[in-house]
Amino acid sequence: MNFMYAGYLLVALLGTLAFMRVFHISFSPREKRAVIFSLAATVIVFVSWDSWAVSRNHWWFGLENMLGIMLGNQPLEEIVFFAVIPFFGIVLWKISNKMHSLRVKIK
Amino acid sequence: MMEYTISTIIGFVIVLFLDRILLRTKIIGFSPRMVYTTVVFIVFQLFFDNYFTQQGLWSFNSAETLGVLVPFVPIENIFFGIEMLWFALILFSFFSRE
Repeated sequence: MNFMYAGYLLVALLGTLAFMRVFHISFSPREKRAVIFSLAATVIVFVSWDSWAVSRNHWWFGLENMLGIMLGNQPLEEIVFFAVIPFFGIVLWKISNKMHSLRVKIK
Repeated sequence: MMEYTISTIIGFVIVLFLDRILLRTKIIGFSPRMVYTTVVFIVFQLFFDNYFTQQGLWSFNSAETLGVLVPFVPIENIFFGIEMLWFALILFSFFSRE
């Protein structure tokens, strides 16, 4: 058992929250619901793709660097990855939208 | 048989289909906000993906890719990341619109 992958995911999540704070990003109730739905769908679709890819030997995991909790052929961290990283993407998108609307306002 | 290559191409088509036809969110393209988001995401992805591959968190089967590495990660994996990003953004836009 090793916390390397889990540790990196925690850093990614904390980094995303820091981005939200620095750029004053917040989500409306409707957007919060949209975040949950979109991340759930991303986890389902991409874990399915990942499971298939592992079964077809497209890639494999260095399990010695992971917690050792498996769901099928997927390490727990990989499943969490498909929520944490897209969430970072959504925050980036919100930042880009905010910057864009600020620029439009200035114009 | 380059299955990873083929599956990323199919994934790309599905993402475009979702954005343009099925959900009609129409956010994928060259608008400044999408370009900024994607470029920043790719910069982070290139750094961490390469680092994690070097650290042995995961490894790729070169028989299933084109063999183009950027610089240690197959180009297919970069597209996998972009498709994941776009998929999440399309659904986020779809569910958050009024």
